Amino acid sequence: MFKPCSKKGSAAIALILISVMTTGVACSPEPKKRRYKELSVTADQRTAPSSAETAVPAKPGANISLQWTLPEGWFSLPADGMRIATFKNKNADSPVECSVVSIPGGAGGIKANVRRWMEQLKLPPLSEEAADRYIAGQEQIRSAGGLLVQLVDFGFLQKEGPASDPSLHAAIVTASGQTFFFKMTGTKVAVRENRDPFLLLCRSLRENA
Amino acid sequence: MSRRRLFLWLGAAALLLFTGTAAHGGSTPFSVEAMKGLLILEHGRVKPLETYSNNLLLQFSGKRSFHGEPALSWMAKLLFDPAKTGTDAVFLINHPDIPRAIGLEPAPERRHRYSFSELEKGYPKLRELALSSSSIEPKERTIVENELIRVHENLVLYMNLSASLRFTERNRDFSIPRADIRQLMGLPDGRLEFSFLELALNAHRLRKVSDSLLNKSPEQWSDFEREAFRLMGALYQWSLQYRDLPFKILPPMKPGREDWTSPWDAIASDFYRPEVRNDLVQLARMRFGYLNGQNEEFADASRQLTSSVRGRSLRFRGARFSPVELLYNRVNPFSWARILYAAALLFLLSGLGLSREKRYALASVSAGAALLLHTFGLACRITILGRPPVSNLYETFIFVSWIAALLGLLLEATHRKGLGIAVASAAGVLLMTISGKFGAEGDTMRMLVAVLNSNFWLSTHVVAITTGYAGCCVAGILGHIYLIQAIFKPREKAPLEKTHKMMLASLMFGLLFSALGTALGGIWADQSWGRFWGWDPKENGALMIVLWCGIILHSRLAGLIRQVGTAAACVFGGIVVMWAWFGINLLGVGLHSYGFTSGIAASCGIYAGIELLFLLAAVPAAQKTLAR
Amino acid sequence: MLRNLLTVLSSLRITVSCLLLLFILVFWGTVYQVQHGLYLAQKHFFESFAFWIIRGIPFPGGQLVLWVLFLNLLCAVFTRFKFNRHKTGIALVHAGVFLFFISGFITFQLCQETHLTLAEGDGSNLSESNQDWELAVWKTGTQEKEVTAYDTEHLKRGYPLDFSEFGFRLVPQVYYPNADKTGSSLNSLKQEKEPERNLPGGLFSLPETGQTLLLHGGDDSPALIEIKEDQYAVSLRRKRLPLPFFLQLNDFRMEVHPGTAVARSYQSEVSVFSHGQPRTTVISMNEPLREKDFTFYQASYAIDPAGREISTLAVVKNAGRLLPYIATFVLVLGLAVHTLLVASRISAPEVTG
Repeated sequence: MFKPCSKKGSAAIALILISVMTTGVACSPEPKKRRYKELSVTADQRTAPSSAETAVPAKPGANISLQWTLPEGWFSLPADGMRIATFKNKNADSPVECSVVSIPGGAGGIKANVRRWMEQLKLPPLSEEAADRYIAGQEQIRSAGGLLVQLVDFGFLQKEGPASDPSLHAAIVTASGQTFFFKMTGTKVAVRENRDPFLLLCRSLRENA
Repeated sequence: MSRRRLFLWLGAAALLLFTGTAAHGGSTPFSVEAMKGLLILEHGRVKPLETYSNNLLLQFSGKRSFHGEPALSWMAKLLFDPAKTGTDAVFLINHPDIPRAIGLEPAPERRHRYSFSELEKGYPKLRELALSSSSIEPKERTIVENELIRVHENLVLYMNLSASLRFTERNRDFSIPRADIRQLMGLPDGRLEFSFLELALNAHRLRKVSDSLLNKSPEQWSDFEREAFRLMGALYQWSLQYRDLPFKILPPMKPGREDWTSPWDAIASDFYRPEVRNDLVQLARMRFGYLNGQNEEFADASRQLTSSVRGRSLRFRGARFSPVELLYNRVNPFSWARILYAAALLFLLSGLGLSREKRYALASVSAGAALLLHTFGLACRITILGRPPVSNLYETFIFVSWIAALLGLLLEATHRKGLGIAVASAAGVLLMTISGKFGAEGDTMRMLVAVLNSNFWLSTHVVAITTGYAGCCVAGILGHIYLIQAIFKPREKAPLEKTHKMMLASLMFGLLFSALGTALGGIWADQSWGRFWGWDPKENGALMIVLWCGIILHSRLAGLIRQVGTAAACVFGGIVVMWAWFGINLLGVGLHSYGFTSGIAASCGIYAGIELLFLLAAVPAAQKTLAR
Repeated sequence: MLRNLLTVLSSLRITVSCLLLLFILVFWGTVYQVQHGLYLAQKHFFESFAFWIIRGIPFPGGQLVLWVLFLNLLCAVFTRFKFNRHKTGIALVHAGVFLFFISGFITFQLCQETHLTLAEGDGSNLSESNQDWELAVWKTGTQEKEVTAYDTEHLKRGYPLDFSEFGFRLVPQVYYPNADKTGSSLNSLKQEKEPERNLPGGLFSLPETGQTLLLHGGDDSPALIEIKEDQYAVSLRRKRLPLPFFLQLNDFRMEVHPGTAVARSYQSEVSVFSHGQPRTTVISMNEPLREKDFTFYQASYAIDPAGREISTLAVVKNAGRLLPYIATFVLVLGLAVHTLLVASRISAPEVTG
């Protein structure tokens, strides 16, 4: 039953397959124009729209409202992603990288950030009271522009372990309704050696007129 | 808990410490049995110390015992007399490059097991190598790098565990030559060295003295005050030193918390609580009993500690069902079930000089007993974990062999010719032997990651798919039996016909559950990832089983294969099941598997090769004999 | 003639051959994934009509085999299949398979998989494609951001893209699906194993001002152009699909097993703003949110450099979502019925004899 019509059969199958393929492929290769409305809300605009049709202003951010002077021996890299600036030092023996990130609003408070950084450094977590005490013990300085800069140095918590362990020195500043995070990372030794330039950078902070 | 009783214990303990000798004494052998029910949190699960010890020693040395002693004994030595474990060769290093790299001679004569005192010398080097290996992406690591990390972790764990109860050890830091201070602290005379705990229990008295020093300049301190201040400092130093140790045996004190603490952390945070102090004193008593060979002291302290901790932690499933887990450990159901399955097979196959009826009776009884034990073991696991027993490869082997054995015995119930028993016991022996290999990974009762953490889907999809595996495995075993029958007894048409029918029934059973499992898997994937089908390797494996069953059924319908062909296809179906079940997992780990996994990959290949050779030889032979 | 053709097409030999081919394809496509990743394996083995084993020797692809199998099943219904009581199960099984074919076709043609990544407190009405890109233009500084976009998939060199509502056109000069931008030059790169890692780049000329724009998928901010004192932003970005509602992430929670880093559950608490009142609901692993034609699944999470928790939701729009469920039910019911019928036939002689 199968054999006598196998040729005819295969021809028919081929025909059907070709027609199927052509219909499958027959979609337009022209680029299609689409129009849509973009609504987005970020954390500092907690009051949400009452319906999808309400307009919401776009994300703030592109223009930075903070200025600084780079310390000697440091240079700036192009902005990238979340970072509004990245600096590096020229001394190849103790390289550090400093990133600047800004977040609208309070960004979860200092404690949450300290905890996260400690996780990144694989430091054992502190109890609630210990964390409060630790943060209270950290230095605060007043910058040239009159801004209050909260410093956080993790070197104190890393007394043990090799000098090549990663470490971190951070500064947190609030200006124009945004929180700025300056984060200097490198090995323990490198971070310690670059403490002074980092402080210079923090002292130079001022708000844009 | 009354304070007075506490002091009584402490006093008794101190007295005994003074009179006793620091060596095992007594003629009756010392038993650490009493401490097996202590609870400990590890990998997110609360479990008895016995289970923990077994897994720990397995993780260190690849075995559950050390020099013929159960793991619990070695654990007790590590906790209470850590110095004595220094020369125990318990650290298995799977690669000869590692001992060489840290300056040791490889020791194949000791089956690659090294002691802590050997490894200690090379520790700085090992740490450095392990740290640099950890900085490599897990997927890029080589076998040696993975092994380095593993050995280093084990060594750190060993060191941490050996320090877990250091607060009960006498130490020079707490030697008190001045009688007036001993008196102040309520410590017995006649002994100069004390433990951290002995001082800490009355630290408030020291504190009173040291607090009064704040307004005095150090030159004005008396010798008494100076000594009190030194002791206070030593206590403080010690309490800072041993944080975050892994020996988490004390339940959280605050309601709603789930993190257990090690005794040292409890000293740091909850020392003011009488129940915690009581627990610590019991630990000191246990140590005292252990070192002095006083069985009763040890057992009593263990029991008190166990019941006090368990009473406070019944909201944890592991604590509630720890007696079940201890029973499970003691009965060891799966090992016995395997032996009984093997016995059943032996009775069926060999003469042993017994009559046919007797052999059949013996085989039925042992297979039945094996299935009972098997069921008991599964029930224990379900109770302990509170979820279906199908969440890792080890468990699926146990579960599939159970279904296969059940299926075999059900077939036996309808036919009573020994064929079902043969299938049940063959599947039991084979699959449970393989499960042992996977069980060597350590703890087989792990907690589940978020996506798997769903009892509904585990008990429907995974159970269905593994039941499907079992059906196809049984069909495969029957395929073997059919081919062998066809070659050796081609004239006996009735048994042949029966085997064939059973094979088809098992195949249908397998197809039903494989298809159900595959489709349910699709629905689960749709629920959690938003797609029903994604050509993921595991999905593909399941689909291959369904396709293969479809191929067999349609080929029969088309007259392309007959009984012999069906039997051969069922045998091949066994290879397909193996591929879908764990072949695919090996594919994923491929390059970075180590030790047993690569061994399993090789044995999979060998298994598939043997099956294909068997088919090549058996199919033509069967066709020839049947045609005659 | 037609009858004859149908008979040929319904041949069981075709069924068996197709099943065997599919079996081989599935195996091959699984092994292929180790080297080449899931996406390429899918394109090469399962979605193709045919591919070369080595140059000159073709092998049928998954789509072809499935089409033939589908026709084979369809023809068999009209020719070979004679229904009787004993075949109830068989009929149901094949009805289930038929439904799977249909749902597979619908999903393949219509299903859209995108994602929505939100930090806590953020919200959006757009979901983002995983691998498709668009050339988007909008006027800056307006209250409402009205975007005009073209998919980059069919861009043709020199073929202008019309933005007449803004009063200009953009002409693609060069477009690479995966490119590397160094300074002001673009280099074409080999496409990635995971297509979502491709970053396209292109040069677009603006006849109205004579400018040429260099756009790259990795750019942080859109290119800005000035036309008649108005400023416009031009961006090469992942394709956005408008949702018929607005979704805001209120809170993300992760629980771990005590004393470990193994996650026990992930949860995103979101508010859906449709017309009228917002609705607050929780999306967690295995418990998606269904809203209109869309389904939102908890896919992954991250923490941004400032410590905010970020949740990624997979967004799937699939009109045929329910079909596989029905198909599963029918297929399994059929198998169960058939197995019972077979079992009763096998054990029947035992009972009587």
